[in-house]
Amino acid sequence: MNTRTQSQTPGRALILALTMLFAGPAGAAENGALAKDLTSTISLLGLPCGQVVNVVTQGNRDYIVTCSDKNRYRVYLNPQGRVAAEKR
Amino acid sequence: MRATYIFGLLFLLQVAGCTVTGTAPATGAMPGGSVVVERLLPDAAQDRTDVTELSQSAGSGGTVVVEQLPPLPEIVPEAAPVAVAPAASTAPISAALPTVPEPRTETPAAPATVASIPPTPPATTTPPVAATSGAAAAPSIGTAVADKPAAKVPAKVAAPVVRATPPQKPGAAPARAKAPSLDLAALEQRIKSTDAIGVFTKIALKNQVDDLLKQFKNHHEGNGKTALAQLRQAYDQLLLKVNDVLKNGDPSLATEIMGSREVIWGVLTDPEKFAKL
Repeated sequence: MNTRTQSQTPGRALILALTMLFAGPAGAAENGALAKDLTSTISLLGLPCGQVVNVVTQGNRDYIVTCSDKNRYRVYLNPQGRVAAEKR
Repeated sequence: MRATYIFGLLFLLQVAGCTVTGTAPATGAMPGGSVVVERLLPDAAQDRTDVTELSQSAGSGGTVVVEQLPPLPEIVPEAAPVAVAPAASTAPISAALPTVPEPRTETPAAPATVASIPPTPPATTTPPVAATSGAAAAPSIGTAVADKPAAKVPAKVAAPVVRATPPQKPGAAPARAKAPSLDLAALEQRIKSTDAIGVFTKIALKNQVDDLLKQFKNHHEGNGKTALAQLRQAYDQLLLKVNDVLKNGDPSLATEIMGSREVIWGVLTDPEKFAKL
Protein backbone atom coordinates (compact mmCIF):
# COMPACT_ATOMS: atom_id res chain seq x y z
CA MET A 1 0.00 0.00 0.00
CA ASN A 2 2.78 2.29 0.91
CA THR A 3 4.64 1.55 -2.28
CA ARG A 4 1.53 2.34 -4.36
CA THR A 5 1.12 5.80 -2.82
CA GLN A 6 4.80 6.50 -3.27
CA SER A 7 4.60 5.62 -6.95
CA GLN A 8 1.45 7.71 -7.46
CA THR A 9 2.92 10.81 -5.89
CA PRO A 10 5.45 11.61 -8.64
CA GLY A 11 2.78 11.01 -11.28
CA ARG A 12 0.39 13.44 -9.64
CA ALA A 13 3.14 15.97 -9.29
CA LEU A 14 3.93 15.64 -12.96
CA ILE A 15 0.29 16.09 -13.94
CA LEU A 16 0.00 19.11 -11.69
CA ALA A 17 3.15 20.61 -13.13
CA LEU A 18 1.98 20.05 -16.70
CA THR A 19 -1.43 21.51 -15.89
CA MET A 20 0.15 24.60 -14.45
CA LEU A 21 2.50 24.82 -17.42
CA PHE A 22 -0.22 24.74 -20.05
CA ALA A 23 -3.05 26.37 -18.15
CA GLY A 24 -1.29 29.72 -18.00
CA PRO A 25 -0.79 30.23 -21.74
CA ALA A 26 -4.23 28.86 -22.55
CA GLY A 27 -5.81 31.31 -20.17
CA ALA A 28 -3.73 34.14 -21.56
CA ALA A 29 -4.81 33.26 -25.09
CA GLU A 30 -8.42 33.15 -23.97
CA ASN A 31 -8.06 36.56 -22.38
CA GLY A 32 -6.38 37.84 -25.52
CA ALA A 33 -9.25 36.60 -27.67
CA LEU A 34 -11.79 38.12 -25.30
CA ALA A 35 -9.92 41.42 -25.30
CA LYS A 36 -9.86 41.40 -29.08
CA ASP A 37 -13.55 40.57 -29.19
CA LEU A 38 -14.38 43.38 -26.82
CA THR A 39 -12.17 45.77 -28.76
CA SER A 40 -14.09 44.96 -31.94
CA THR A 41 -17.38 45.29 -30.12
CA ILE A 42 -16.57 48.72 -28.73
CA SER A 43 -15.32 49.81 -32.14
CA LEU A 44 -18.53 48.54 -33.74
CA LEU A 45 -20.55 50.52 -31.23
CA GLY A 46 -18.65 53.61 -32.27
CA LEU A 47 -17.01 54.30 -28.94
CA PRO A 48 -13.42 55.51 -28.55
CA CYS A 49 -11.12 52.91 -27.10
CA GLY A 50 -8.08 51.94 -29.11
CA GLN A 51 -7.21 48.50 -27.75
CA VAL A 52 -8.65 46.75 -24.72
CA VAL A 53 -5.77 46.25 -22.34
CA ASN A 54 -7.56 44.83 -19.31
CA VAL A 55 -10.73 42.81 -18.80
CA VAL A 56 -12.45 42.13 -15.49
CA THR A 57 -15.29 39.63 -15.58
CA GLN A 58 -18.30 40.70 -13.56
CA GLY A 59 -20.71 37.98 -14.55
CA ASN A 60 -21.92 35.97 -17.50
CA ARG A 61 -21.21 38.14 -20.54
CA ASP A 62 -20.62 41.16 -18.37
CA TYR A 63 -17.19 42.76 -18.38
CA ILE A 64 -15.43 45.88 -17.23
CA VAL A 65 -12.78 46.76 -19.77
CA THR A 66 -9.96 49.25 -19.72
CA CYS A 67 -8.84 50.67 -23.02
CA SER A 68 -5.41 51.80 -24.14
CA ASP A 69 -6.68 55.38 -24.23
CA LYS A 70 -7.65 55.08 -20.52
CA ASN A 71 -11.37 54.85 -21.25
CA ARG A 72 -13.24 52.29 -19.15
CA TYR A 73 -16.48 50.63 -20.19
CA ARG A 74 -18.90 48.09 -18.91
CA VAL A 75 -19.70 45.83 -21.85
CA TYR A 76 -22.55 43.43 -21.34
CA LEU A 77 -25.42 41.62 -22.95
CA ASN A 78 -28.66 43.17 -21.78
CA PRO A 79 -31.88 41.20 -21.23
CA GLN A 80 -33.17 42.25 -24.66
CA GLY A 81 -30.27 40.43 -26.25
CA ARG A 82 -28.40 43.55 -27.25
CA VAL A 83 -24.76 44.26 -26.61
CA ALA A 84 -24.42 47.44 -24.60
CA ALA A 85 -21.41 49.46 -23.52
CA GLU A 86 -21.58 51.97 -20.70
CA LYS A 87 -18.81 54.41 -20.05
CA ARG A 88 -17.39 54.20 -16.53
CA MET B 1 93.78 59.66 -75.29
CA ARG B 2 91.17 57.39 -76.59
CA ALA B 3 88.54 58.85 -74.25
CA THR B 4 89.37 62.31 -75.40
CA TYR B 5 88.86 61.20 -78.95
CA ILE B 6 85.47 59.73 -78.26
CA PHE B 7 84.34 62.79 -76.30
CA GLY B 8 85.44 65.06 -79.10
CA LEU B 9 83.59 62.96 -81.63
CA LEU B 10 80.39 63.13 -79.60
CA PHE B 11 80.71 66.89 -79.22
CA LEU B 12 81.10 67.26 -82.93
CA LEU B 13 78.01 65.15 -83.56
CA GLN B 14 75.97 67.20 -81.14
CA VAL B 15 77.03 70.48 -82.66
CA ALA B 16 76.32 69.14 -86.11
CA GLY B 17 72.80 68.05 -85.09
CA CYS B 18 72.00 71.48 -83.66
CA THR B 19 73.04 73.23 -86.75
CA VAL B 20 70.85 71.03 -88.93
CA THR B 21 67.62 71.29 -86.86
CA GLY B 22 68.18 74.81 -85.56
CA THR B 23 67.04 73.93 -82.06
CA ALA B 24 68.77 73.62 -78.79
CA PRO B 25 69.47 70.12 -77.60
CA ALA B 26 66.92 68.59 -75.27
CA THR B 27 68.27 68.44 -71.82
CA GLY B 28 65.76 66.94 -69.38
CA ALA B 29 62.64 65.80 -71.16
CA MET B 30 62.59 62.82 -73.38
CA PRO B 31 60.93 62.98 -76.76
CA GLY B 32 57.71 61.08 -77.43
CA GLY B 33 54.98 62.78 -75.27
CA SER B 34 51.24 62.57 -75.63
CA VAL B 35 49.47 63.42 -78.81
CA VAL B 36 46.35 65.51 -78.46
CA VAL B 37 43.80 65.70 -81.24
CA GLU B 38 41.06 68.23 -80.80
CA ARG B 39 38.26 69.52 -82.87
CA LEU B 40 38.20 73.21 -83.32
CA LEU B 41 35.12 75.25 -83.93
CA PRO B 42 35.71 77.73 -86.69
CA ASP B 43 33.95 80.50 -84.73
CA ALA B 44 35.27 79.79 -81.30
CA ALA B 45 38.37 81.82 -80.86
CA GLN B 46 38.71 80.82 -77.24
CA ASP B 47 39.20 77.17 -78.08
CA ARG B 48 41.96 78.10 -80.41
CA THR B 49 43.72 80.05 -77.76
CA ASP B 50 43.37 77.14 -75.39
CA VAL B 51 44.87 74.82 -77.89
CA THR B 52 47.74 77.08 -78.59
CA GLU B 53 48.40 77.38 -74.90
CA LEU B 54 48.30 73.64 -74.64
CA SER B 55 50.75 73.25 -77.47
CA GLN B 56 53.03 75.72 -75.83
CA SER B 57 52.93 73.97 -72.51
CA ALA B 58 53.46 70.62 -74.10
CA GLY B 59 56.25 71.90 -76.23
CA SER B 60 58.91 70.78 -73.83
CA GLY B 61 57.60 67.19 -73.65
CA GLY B 62 56.42 66.05 -77.04
CA THR B 63 54.47 66.95 -80.09
CA VAL B 64 50.95 68.33 -80.15
CA VAL B 65 48.85 67.74 -83.21
CA VAL B 66 45.94 70.07 -83.68
CA GLU B 67 43.47 69.19 -86.39
CA GLN B 68 40.57 71.28 -87.49
CA LEU B 69 37.51 69.29 -88.47
CA PRO B 70 34.97 71.05 -90.67
CA PRO B 71 31.72 69.05 -90.09
CA LEU B 72 31.19 70.26 -86.50
CA PRO B 73 28.79 73.09 -87.28
CA GLU B 74 26.57 70.55 -89.01
CA ILE B 75 26.58 68.19 -86.05
CA VAL B 76 25.54 70.80 -83.52
CA PRO B 77 22.23 71.66 -85.22
CA GLU B 78 21.43 67.95 -85.46
CA ALA B 79 21.88 67.44 -81.73
CA ALA B 80 19.48 70.23 -80.81
CA PRO B 81 16.45 68.82 -82.69
CA VAL B 82 17.02 65.42 -81.10
CA ALA B 83 16.52 66.98 -77.66
CA VAL B 84 13.48 68.84 -78.84
CA ALA B 85 11.96 65.91 -80.68
CA PRO B 86 10.32 64.18 -77.69
CA ALA B 87 8.74 67.41 -76.58
CA ALA B 88 7.46 68.00 -80.04
CA SER B 89 6.09 64.47 -80.24
CA THR B 90 4.31 64.66 -76.86
CA ALA B 91 2.81 68.02 -77.59
CA PRO B 92 0.84 66.86 -80.59
CA ILE B 93 -0.55 63.89 -78.62
CA SER B 94 -1.96 66.00 -75.85
CA ALA B 95 -3.00 68.93 -77.98
CA ALA B 96 -4.28 67.16 -81.05
CA LEU B 97 -5.76 64.04 -79.52
CA PRO B 98 -8.57 63.68 -81.98
CA THR B 99 -6.13 63.58 -84.90
CA VAL B 100 -6.61 60.41 -86.81
CA PRO B 101 -3.26 58.71 -87.43
CA GLU B 102 -1.59 58.67 -84.03
CA PRO B 103 -4.56 57.87 -81.75
CA ARG B 104 -5.66 55.05 -84.00
CA THR B 105 -2.47 53.23 -83.26
CA GLU B 106 -3.20 53.67 -79.55
CA THR B 107 -6.92 52.89 -79.57
CA PRO B 108 -6.53 49.11 -79.75
CA ALA B 109 -4.54 49.16 -76.54
CA ALA B 110 -6.67 51.71 -74.75
CA PRO B 111 -10.03 49.94 -74.95
CA ALA B 112 -8.41 46.79 -73.67
CA THR B 113 -7.34 48.53 -70.50
CA VAL B 114 -10.59 50.37 -70.13
CA ALA B 115 -12.59 47.23 -70.65
CA SER B 116 -10.58 45.38 -68.06
CA ILE B 117 -10.98 48.04 -65.38
CA PRO B 118 -14.74 48.56 -65.15
CA PRO B 119 -15.97 45.02 -64.60
CA THR B 120 -14.46 44.78 -61.15
CA PRO B 121 -15.79 47.85 -59.31
CA PRO B 122 -18.95 48.85 -61.16
CA ALA B 123 -19.94 45.38 -62.20
CA THR B 124 -22.23 45.08 -59.26
CA THR B 125 -23.61 48.57 -59.46
CA THR B 126 -26.01 49.28 -62.20
CA PRO B 127 -28.50 46.44 -62.57
CA PRO B 128 -30.03 46.54 -59.13
CA VAL B 129 -29.77 50.28 -58.90
CA ALA B 130 -31.35 50.96 -62.22
CA ALA B 131 -34.51 49.28 -61.08
CA THR B 132 -35.10 51.48 -58.10
CA SER B 133 -34.36 54.87 -56.74
CA GLY B 134 -30.74 54.07 -55.93
CA ALA B 135 -29.85 55.26 -59.39
CA ALA B 136 -28.03 58.22 -57.94
CA ALA B 137 -25.27 56.05 -56.62
CA ALA B 138 -24.63 54.15 -59.81
CA PRO B 139 -23.91 57.10 -62.05
CA SER B 140 -21.50 58.54 -59.54
CA ILE B 141 -19.55 55.31 -59.43
CA GLY B 142 -19.66 55.05 -63.16
CA THR B 143 -18.22 58.49 -63.57
CA ALA B 144 -15.56 57.80 -60.99
CA VAL B 145 -14.48 54.76 -62.90
CA ALA B 146 -14.50 56.73 -66.07
CA ASP B 147 -12.33 59.35 -64.48
CA LYS B 148 -9.81 56.89 -63.17
CA PRO B 149 -8.21 55.94 -66.48
CA ALA B 150 -8.16 59.56 -67.56
CA ALA B 151 -6.28 60.49 -64.43
CA LYS B 152 -3.85 57.61 -64.61
CA VAL B 153 -2.92 57.94 -68.27
CA PRO B 154 -3.33 61.61 -68.94
CA ALA B 155 -2.83 62.06 -72.64
CA LYS B 156 -3.19 58.71 -74.29
CA VAL B 157 -6.35 57.31 -72.77
CA ALA B 158 -8.29 60.52 -72.34
CA ALA B 159 -9.69 60.59 -75.82
CA PRO B 160 -10.21 56.85 -76.30
CA VAL B 161 -12.23 56.67 -73.07
CA VAL B 162 -14.80 58.98 -74.57
CA ARG B 163 -14.97 56.81 -77.65
CA ALA B 164 -14.94 53.58 -75.74
CA THR B 165 -17.69 54.33 -73.24
CA PRO B 166 -20.65 53.99 -75.61
CA PRO B 167 -19.73 50.44 -76.70
CA GLN B 168 -18.86 49.55 -73.11
CA LYS B 169 -22.34 49.98 -71.71
CA PRO B 170 -23.93 47.18 -73.69
CA GLY B 171 -20.84 45.03 -73.22
CA ALA B 172 -20.76 45.53 -69.49
CA ALA B 173 -24.38 44.65 -68.93
CA PRO B 174 -23.90 40.89 -69.16
CA ALA B 175 -20.88 41.10 -66.88
CA ARG B 176 -22.97 42.93 -64.34
CA ALA B 177 -25.71 40.38 -64.58
CA LYS B 178 -23.36 37.85 -63.04
CA ALA B 179 -22.84 39.87 -59.87
CA PRO B 180 -26.40 39.62 -58.46
CA SER B 181 -25.91 35.90 -58.13
CA LEU B 182 -24.51 36.63 -54.69
CA ASP B 183 -25.88 34.30 -52.09
CA LEU B 184 -26.82 36.41 -49.12
CA ALA B 185 -27.59 33.39 -46.99
CA ALA B 186 -24.13 31.96 -47.62
CA LEU B 187 -22.56 35.30 -46.82
CA GLU B 188 -24.51 35.48 -43.57
CA GLN B 189 -23.43 31.96 -42.72
CA ARG B 190 -19.80 32.83 -43.36
CA ILE B 191 -20.03 35.79 -41.02
CA LYS B 192 -21.59 33.58 -38.38
CA SER B 193 -18.97 30.88 -38.70
CA THR B 194 -15.86 32.99 -39.06
CA ASP B 195 -13.33 32.91 -36.24
CA ALA B 196 -12.10 36.39 -37.07
CA ILE B 197 -14.63 37.98 -34.74
CA GLY B 198 -15.85 36.91 -31.35
CA VAL B 199 -19.32 36.26 -29.99
CA PHE B 200 -19.80 39.75 -28.61
CA THR B 201 -18.86 41.31 -31.93
CA LYS B 202 -21.20 39.03 -33.80
CA ILE B 203 -24.10 39.86 -31.49
CA ALA B 204 -23.37 43.57 -31.77
CA LEU B 205 -23.17 43.24 -35.54
CA LYS B 206 -26.47 41.42 -35.66
CA ASN B 207 -28.06 44.14 -33.54
CA GLN B 208 -26.93 46.81 -35.93
CA VAL B 209 -27.99 44.87 -39.01
CA ASP B 210 -31.41 44.32 -37.48
CA ASP B 211 -31.70 48.03 -36.72
CA LEU B 212 -30.85 48.91 -40.30
CA LEU B 213 -33.28 46.35 -41.67
CA LYS B 214 -35.98 47.82 -39.45
CA GLN B 215 -35.27 51.24 -40.91
CA PHE B 216 -35.54 49.85 -44.43
CA LYS B 217 -38.76 48.12 -43.55
CA ASN B 218 -40.21 51.35 -42.27
CA HIS B 219 -39.00 53.11 -45.38
CA HIS B 220 -40.69 50.63 -47.68
CA GLU B 221 -43.89 50.67 -45.67
CA GLY B 222 -43.91 54.44 -45.80
CA ASN B 223 -43.95 54.74 -42.03
CA GLY B 224 -40.41 55.93 -41.55
CA LYS B 225 -39.29 59.41 -42.32
CA THR B 226 -35.76 58.37 -43.11
CA ALA B 227 -34.75 59.30 -46.60
CA LEU B 228 -32.92 56.95 -48.85
CA ALA B 229 -29.80 59.09 -48.65
CA GLN B 230 -29.78 58.69 -44.88
CA LEU B 231 -30.25 54.97 -45.21
CA ARG B 232 -27.39 54.85 -47.65
CA GLN B 233 -25.20 56.70 -45.21
CA ALA B 234 -26.09 54.33 -42.39
CA TYR B 235 -25.56 51.36 -44.68
CA ASP B 236 -22.14 52.59 -45.78
CA GLN B 237 -21.09 53.23 -42.19
CA LEU B 238 -22.14 49.76 -41.14
CA LEU B 239 -20.28 48.15 -44.01
CA LEU B 240 -17.18 50.15 -43.19
CA LYS B 241 -17.39 48.96 -39.60
CA VAL B 242 -17.78 45.37 -40.75
CA ASN B 243 -14.83 45.76 -43.06
CA ASP B 244 -12.79 47.29 -40.28
CA VAL B 245 -13.57 44.43 -37.95
CA LEU B 246 -13.00 41.66 -40.50
CA LYS B 247 -10.12 42.93 -42.57
CA ASN B 248 -7.42 41.61 -40.25
CA GLY B 249 -8.91 38.29 -39.25
CA ASP B 250 -10.72 37.29 -42.45
CA PRO B 251 -9.65 39.57 -45.29
CA SER B 252 -11.28 37.44 -47.99
CA LEU B 253 -14.67 37.71 -46.31
CA ALA B 254 -14.19 41.44 -45.84
CA THR B 255 -13.32 41.83 -49.51
CA GLU B 256 -16.31 39.75 -50.54
CA ILE B 257 -18.67 41.82 -48.44
CA MET B 258 -17.26 45.08 -49.74
CA GLY B 259 -17.39 43.72 -53.27
CA SER B 260 -21.07 42.88 -52.99
CA ARG B 261 -21.84 46.23 -51.45
CA GLU B 262 -23.93 47.52 -54.33
CA VAL B 263 -25.74 44.22 -54.84
CA ILE B 264 -26.85 44.18 -51.22
CA TRP B 265 -27.88 47.80 -51.54
CA GLY B 266 -29.91 46.91 -54.58
CA VAL B 267 -31.68 44.17 -52.63
CA LEU B 268 -32.36 46.48 -49.71
CA THR B 269 -33.77 49.27 -51.83
CA ASP B 270 -35.94 47.05 -53.98
CA PRO B 271 -39.23 46.50 -52.10
CA GLU B 272 -39.90 43.16 -53.80
CA LYS B 273 -36.45 41.76 -53.11
CA PHE B 274 -36.49 43.17 -49.62
CA ALA B 275 -39.79 41.46 -48.88
CA LYS B 276 -38.20 38.12 -49.73
CA LEU B 277 -35.44 38.56 -47.18
